[in-house]
Amino acid sequence: MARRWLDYKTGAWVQWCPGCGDFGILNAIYGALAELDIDPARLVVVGGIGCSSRSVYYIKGSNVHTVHGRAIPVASGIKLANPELTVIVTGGDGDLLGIGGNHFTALGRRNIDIAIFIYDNAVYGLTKGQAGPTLPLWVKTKALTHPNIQGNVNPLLLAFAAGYTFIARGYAYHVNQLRGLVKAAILHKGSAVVDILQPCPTYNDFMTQEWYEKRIYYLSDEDPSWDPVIRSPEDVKVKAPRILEKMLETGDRIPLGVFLQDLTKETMEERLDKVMPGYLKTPPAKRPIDVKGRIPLHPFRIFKDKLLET
Amino acid sequence: MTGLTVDLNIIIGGPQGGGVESAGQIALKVFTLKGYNIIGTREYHSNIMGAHSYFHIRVSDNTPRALRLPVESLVAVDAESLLTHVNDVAKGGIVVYDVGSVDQNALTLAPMEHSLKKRIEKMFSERGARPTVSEAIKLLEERGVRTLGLPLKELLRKTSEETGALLASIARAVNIMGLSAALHVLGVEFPYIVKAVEAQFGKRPKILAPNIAAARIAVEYAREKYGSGNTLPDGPHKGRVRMIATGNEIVAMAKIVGGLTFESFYPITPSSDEAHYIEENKYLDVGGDFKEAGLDKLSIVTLQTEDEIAAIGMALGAALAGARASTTTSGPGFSLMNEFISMAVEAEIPIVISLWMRAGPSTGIATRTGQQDLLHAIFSGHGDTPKIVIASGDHVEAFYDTIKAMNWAEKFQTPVIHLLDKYLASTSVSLDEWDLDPSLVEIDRGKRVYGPVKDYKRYEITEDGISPMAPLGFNTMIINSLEHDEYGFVSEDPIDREAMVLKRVRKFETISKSIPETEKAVLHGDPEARVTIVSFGSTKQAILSAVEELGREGVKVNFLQIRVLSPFPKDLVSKVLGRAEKVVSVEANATGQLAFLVRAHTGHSVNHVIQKLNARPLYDVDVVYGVKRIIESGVERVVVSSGS
Amino acid sequence: MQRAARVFESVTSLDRGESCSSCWNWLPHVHFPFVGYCTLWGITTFEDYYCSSYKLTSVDRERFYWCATCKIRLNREEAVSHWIMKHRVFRGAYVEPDIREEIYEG
Repeated sequence: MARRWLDYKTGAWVQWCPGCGDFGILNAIYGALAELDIDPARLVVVGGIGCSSRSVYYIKGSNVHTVHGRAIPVASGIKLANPELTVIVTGGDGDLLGIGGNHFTALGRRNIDIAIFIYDNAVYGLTKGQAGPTLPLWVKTKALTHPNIQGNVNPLLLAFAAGYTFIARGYAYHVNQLRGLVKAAILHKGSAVVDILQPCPTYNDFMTQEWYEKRIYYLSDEDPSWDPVIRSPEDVKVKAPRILEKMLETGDRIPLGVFLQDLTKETMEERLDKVMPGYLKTPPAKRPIDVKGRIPLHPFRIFKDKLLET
Repeated sequence: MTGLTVDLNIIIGGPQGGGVESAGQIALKVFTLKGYNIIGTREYHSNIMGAHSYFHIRVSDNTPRALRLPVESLVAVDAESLLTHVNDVAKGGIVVYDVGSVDQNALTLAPMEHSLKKRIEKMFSERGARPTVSEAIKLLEERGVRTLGLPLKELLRKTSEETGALLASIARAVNIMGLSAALHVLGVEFPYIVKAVEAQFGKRPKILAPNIAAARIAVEYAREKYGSGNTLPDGPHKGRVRMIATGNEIVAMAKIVGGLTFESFYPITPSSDEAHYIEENKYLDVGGDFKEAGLDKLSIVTLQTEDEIAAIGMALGAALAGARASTTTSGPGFSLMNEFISMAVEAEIPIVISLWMRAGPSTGIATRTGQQDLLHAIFSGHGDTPKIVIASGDHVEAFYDTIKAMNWAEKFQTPVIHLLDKYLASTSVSLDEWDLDPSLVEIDRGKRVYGPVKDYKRYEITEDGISPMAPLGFNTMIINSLEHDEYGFVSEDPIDREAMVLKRVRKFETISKSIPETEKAVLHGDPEARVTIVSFGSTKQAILSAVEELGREGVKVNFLQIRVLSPFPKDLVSKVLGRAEKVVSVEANATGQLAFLVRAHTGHSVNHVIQKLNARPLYDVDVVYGVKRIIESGVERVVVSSGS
Repeated sequence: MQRAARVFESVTSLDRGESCSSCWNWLPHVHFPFVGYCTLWGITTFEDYYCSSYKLTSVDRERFYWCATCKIRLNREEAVSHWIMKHRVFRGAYVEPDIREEIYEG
């Protein structure tokens, strides 16, 4: 019996402001999970701190609410300890690219099979609207006393440089299209990131719904032959220039869709199984560590390099 | 059997990367093969190559508890080693040096630290001499130290020509020559040296042959110059299989046999070697040992992370999924881990943090020892964050403590901080099979539930404060760093809040009650002694040795070793300190952290402290000197300063 | 016959200084500079060995050098000043292939 989106909705009151883009993202995630028919008990949603990280309360799962910026390391530990679980991370641009930027970069190098959803509204909501790492230079939102004097990071380029194997951008209010991106990110074997543009009606009066909707368009609408899938090392050489060109496109036109899906890189889990055959069968969470409570091992039988017969 | 007590102390010095490590390891093997117990430590600068490093060894037919100064033998194949350790050699001892270095002057030795150059210059100028190797030799001879100059260049040339080998490992050959000559003078028979060199390089014939030749040529030279004295009798520990391992390696071994399945870490001295040894053994062939559990290979995920924050974060994630997880670090890395430690308390996540203390504050001296992180460990993490802090006194304790820490972490769903230090990390000891017996410890994972539970409450309010813990993936639930209700759902409700705070308080009381006082603190020596030393961690063996020594001199002292610093054994400590006339804390920090803790928990003032602040290991002579000084003068603080 | 003995003869008795220790091709051992590595023949030799390919070392070229007296790497300008002070300046130092095993974490 297939699950419905309601099977992923908890009874919790969703505390986001009216008009918040997070609702669109949440609905897209519900829909994607239902289409994938993932058992909520086998789903782990890991959140950092911030409005968006509270998704851990609204999505039914075996979830973890961590500390600010640190969802990715916790999610990585979970996935490596039990690769059978579906692990997703929900966080804001401040959480994942500001305070957590180091972890965001490191995940790309590892290619652990985790999907990252950046609720990207360019501001810090819970702490009253400070500039987020994706807020453009010189923008002055009404929450800021002065224009932003720090530049913005491009999440897609950062993900590309870090080695993410699935990179996409969505828009919070295009729930149907976003559902497709979320689903593809979860299905992708490897580290996936979806940068989800969303208005923050309370604090970001610059990047509003109207502002976004004037600019966004879908890559595949503009170019029906758009194919971001890397199937061989040669594909990278052929496709990377166009991919990077699209990632760099900002300002008046903001492209959405899948920018890159690299099928050539093995996941960290596969690498571990290569180094330690059997890892996937008995990963750290499932490996027996005793025999009926006893330790059947003795250092003198194992660590022979340290022994000396006198 | 010999009726004689052997107590030999040796320093082998040289530039970092110059072969001291091999020579030190060979020396440890020689004396272990001879049937003695050994302890040996590495002292070195934070440097890749060139700066002075040395290996300090003690050999005894008893268990050598701590390092001893002065030493009976100094192997100094370079000028810096000879000049650095010129005051470390006992009368009657033997110094081996390179005759090619006699003209070298301390002031021109590039890597030597400026202050040391000045001290050496001053010492020699007071004798009206220049700070050269030849003057140092003269000084040593005046003090009744025997000296043996080796023409290293000529001996090395001979080795090269005799073996026809291209000398690929020159530094090793030089050190092995110095060591072998010293061993000959100390009465060690050549076949033992050969056996030890074979044990060191056995799997690499190309390295083995020239090194054995180098040893033989050096011994022949020493024999020609010195003749052959009395043979060192064999010690009492012969005819069995023994282990030589460092503290880093012992903790790694304990983690592996104790069921660790996940360790994430970020490189930091002096913790990295622990992680490396786990990594080396991360895919173990265990044959029949685990047959009942259906396994013939044990795999451990070890991962180097981007920083210490990620190191503990990943270990916490793995623990939540059900792995037995730990991380390893030192002070600076531990500082970064603080926020996650707080989360582990709030969200009740099992985690073992091996904290290898080094000399701070800040980067301090990365490669030297200290005990400055006691209060940092206990008070780590914001908010009320009680956690278990256990400190090991020696290698054997470190082995069992590691397994215990992993059990406690899971049983009590809490962070456990295992306090260790640079001294234990880089000190090797000889061990017997019965010293490390995992069958004495059971694996206890506490209230674990596998499989779906109806209406599962991760933070169920219970009398003992411990809730059933289901790994992620069986039930819908929330693990929460925010204050929460029984289901883990975020809650700011005052009743929920108070109930959760009190649940965690009860849990800590349960922890305190579950660990017997006698496991938290141990009183060594005569309970009636009027002076009580109180200390924690790796000072143990030096203090025990000093207590014996003082006893022989008629000074009655006992030693209260605090093993578990949190929860603190206040009843036992109160009782013992209540009986003492003088309480002396011994610790390698300047702020008297243990003394503070004792006073805070028991109300007993610790009136005297012996502090080791020079970032070198504590020697028994330090403690003997400090205690005597306190008894004689009543002085409150004695700073003890031995070590080069 | 060993290779070293075939190629080299010891010139300890000569005072011209034309031995490995002043040869451009020779790198003294980083810690024990009485022995070193001949980049020309690919073998380790002692400082007083000599061969017909001897070439006097210099600090003429724009490159990095090694001062065995100070145990430090030098740029050319520094190398010239050490050379003037009669330090033992070479074009590099010999580091053993297995030195990693002798180094501690720090």
